[in-house]
Amino acid sequence: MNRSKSLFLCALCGFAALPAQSEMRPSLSFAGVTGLIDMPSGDQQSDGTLSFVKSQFGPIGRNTLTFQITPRLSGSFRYASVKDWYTKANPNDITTYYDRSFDLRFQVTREGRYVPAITVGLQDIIGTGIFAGEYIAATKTFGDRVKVTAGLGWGRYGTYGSIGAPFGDRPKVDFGLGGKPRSGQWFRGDVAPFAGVEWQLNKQWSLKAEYSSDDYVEEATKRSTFDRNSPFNFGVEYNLGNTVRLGLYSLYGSKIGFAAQFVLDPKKSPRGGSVGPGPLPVTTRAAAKSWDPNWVNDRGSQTAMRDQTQAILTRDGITIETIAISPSRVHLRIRNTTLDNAPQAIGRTARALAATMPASVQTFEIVPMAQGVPLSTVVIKRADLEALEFAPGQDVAMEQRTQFLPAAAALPPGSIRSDGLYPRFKWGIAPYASSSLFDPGKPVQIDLGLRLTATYDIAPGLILSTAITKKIVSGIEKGSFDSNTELRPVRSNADIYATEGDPAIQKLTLAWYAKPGPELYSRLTVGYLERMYGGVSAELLWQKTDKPYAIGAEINYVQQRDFNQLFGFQDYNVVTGHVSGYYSFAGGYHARLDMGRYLAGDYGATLALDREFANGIKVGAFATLTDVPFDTFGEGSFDKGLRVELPLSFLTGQATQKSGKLTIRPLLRDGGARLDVDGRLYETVRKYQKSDLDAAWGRFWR
Amino acid sequence: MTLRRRMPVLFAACLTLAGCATPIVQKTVGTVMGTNAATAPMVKPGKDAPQIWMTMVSLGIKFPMSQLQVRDGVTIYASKDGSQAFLRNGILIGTRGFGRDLMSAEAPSVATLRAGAPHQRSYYDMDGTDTMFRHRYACTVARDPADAGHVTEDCTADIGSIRNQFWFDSADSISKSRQWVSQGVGYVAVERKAK
Repeated sequence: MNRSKSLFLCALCGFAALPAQSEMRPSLSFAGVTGLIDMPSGDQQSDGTLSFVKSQFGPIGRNTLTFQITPRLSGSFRYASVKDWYTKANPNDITTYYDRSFDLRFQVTREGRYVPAITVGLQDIIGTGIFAGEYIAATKTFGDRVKVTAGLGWGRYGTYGSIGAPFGDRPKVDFGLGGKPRSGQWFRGDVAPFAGVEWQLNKQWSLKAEYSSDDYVEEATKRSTFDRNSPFNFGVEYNLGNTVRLGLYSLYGSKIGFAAQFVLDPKKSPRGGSVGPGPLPVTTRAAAKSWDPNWVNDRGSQTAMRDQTQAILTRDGITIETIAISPSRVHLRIRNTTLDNAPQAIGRTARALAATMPASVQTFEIVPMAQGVPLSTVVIKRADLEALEFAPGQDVAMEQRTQFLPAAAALPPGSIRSDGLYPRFKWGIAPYASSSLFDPGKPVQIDLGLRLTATYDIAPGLILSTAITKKIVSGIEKGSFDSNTELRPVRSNADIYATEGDPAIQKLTLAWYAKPGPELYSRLTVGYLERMYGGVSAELLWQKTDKPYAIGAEINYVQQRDFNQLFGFQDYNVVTGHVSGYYSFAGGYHARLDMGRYLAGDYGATLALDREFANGIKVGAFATLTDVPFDTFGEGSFDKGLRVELPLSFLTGQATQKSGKLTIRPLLRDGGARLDVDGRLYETVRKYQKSDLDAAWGRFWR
Repeated sequence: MTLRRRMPVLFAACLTLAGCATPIVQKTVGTVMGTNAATAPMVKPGKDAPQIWMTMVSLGIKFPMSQLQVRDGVTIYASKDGSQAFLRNGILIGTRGFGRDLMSAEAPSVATLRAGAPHQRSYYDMDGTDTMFRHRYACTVARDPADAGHVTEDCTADIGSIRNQFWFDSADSISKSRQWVSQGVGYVAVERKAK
């Protein structure tokens, strides 16, 4: 029997057990938004969906990442290229034009029996505006196989077959350094109709045809990068499960195009959910292990209880730090380094205690720890565990009966510490990849190599750690352009750091984590904090266990490191630091505001908004405004970007805390740059506070 | 002008997203990322524990499960790789490790099924974001005129209709069944395994 493999294979063929879907899944366009071939449609993706589309026809290439931010609002980030844009004067000249653009779409109406789905879209709203266009698109499904779309477009979507300019001329906008919305242009100038149809032949195949209102004035007429002979486009798409769709097209009567669409819906894990082994069933007090009646006064018996509990927890990668057992309560401090879901770790710990604790122990106090610091106290009644294991709606019932309390730093009397945890040395070697994006000479550059990591836990909360990299494949080259920054190059020399650091000490730090109060956390880190800076970093976080907000402060004194990332420093130092506020809204929306001084000595604030799912998928955006004028900042005007975090456990269904993180900044410059120190407190602490535990509580019984 | 950023797992993520990851690739990914997935089953059933055959109908996979524990009238069966099924007198009320698991259920008793009484049923399952969903079904029971030991339970909810089937032995206990688990898993067939 090899059920896991077969299950995995089948997950790839789609969700076999889902009821037959009568509705057509909304597909994506060349521009990476929900749509036809080169034209958008009125549909939206399912709420929370993250998609990526790579498309190419003739000289035009696009890579688009789109997130369905709310059920009606979506945002897209696009990296587009047009070959032969520039004429070649010298053999080394770059002839391809690369540009980044950002879109927003809002669905005005959802499709009903008679009402079509109507979406209003703004394309390329803050970039150079070369791809700018606005549209209103309506889509209606006929039967369960045909979708018809009709729309009106402005900007680039109003360039072919215009029917007039109802809202006046489109003003010319000097985009300057980019990075600012050009709202004055929206829905101005010529408007042109577009239309198309999508016909789903069967589960796998669908056909598309459209009439495009984009004349490609710049690309075809002015720069002759391709011939636009016809407004009609045709295509065929093949659906590979629910996550991948491949398409082949005929575009504008002259070019063959292809597109690959990848769609990830956080609600649909590729494996359906977690497929790891089930838990130890709840043991009743009557069936629990019997101990010598004198166990209360016998440290030997208590140590044996701890060891038996640890033996069960080892299967889930949970480590006991300390245990204190009294006649009616047990206080257990644990470290969970494997299970991706915090309530699951607590549920499994509670069941282990039910199997090992003497019958008189009625209350389990489980204290999750990280970096030697207790995060919260989860109080579980043993009787509830026994009563609810098979109860319908057991998760809500259990949560209502569980208490979430602050955890004091001090250990309760009679605590027994686990052996061999301090001091302890751990190390590992793993391959790594680092990338550089958006260089106009070579947009994707990748280094591959090996990374040695080592940590030495000296005492609870006191950790010495390092990470050293050695390149094997050097793909990252020095940038095509110099940094040309008017500020101190606090970040813009990243390419020099990448090319000269081999081997590189990524970090070498001594960190001290502590808990000055029951809801107060602290961190002090000294050493080579990150690849570009070394120094001292101190942080304090106040977070109440049962509140959805937290406040923190961080102050750093750092000196810029040598490009070779060994032990030397450059002659630039700065005091940088922030006061931070965190708030977690209902529905998985999180906000964070940092105010303070940045690496170049500039003062300002960063606002970050994220949407998070209980399975750990996060998608967010951030922007920083500082007292650096846009002109001084340079291209892009201010620092901003998107970030995506994708836990490996979502993809594999297996228990692991590893995740893929990606931060995309259209431009990395020196204003609004922050220190990148490891072990910041909030993300670690919040996972075991009430509001995060609530969100993921369904897995307590998993 | 340029952006330097690490994205360690992105390639692995893309591979899996793209649906082109085979188990071999997945294993490599696991090794590369140093995944310490808990692959050992939690608890091993006794050697002579009673067994059932579990078939995941939509996948066509059949495997044995052994009795792990009986408590409060619920028997927990475990497969070799650690996944579990909870059966109360043969009626499925939970799964663990099947993917989109049935976390708990409000299910009819054997007596209700035997009496042919209409009843309500609730299934609690978790989607990919670990959000719990309760699906309430209204059910009717029909006895097979040709086979006195065969009962069909038809249930309807807003998300669709399901049909559970039960076969009773002469002692009026369920010897064989075909029961709904969740969207994502579909039906399982459960059969007592002869020793």
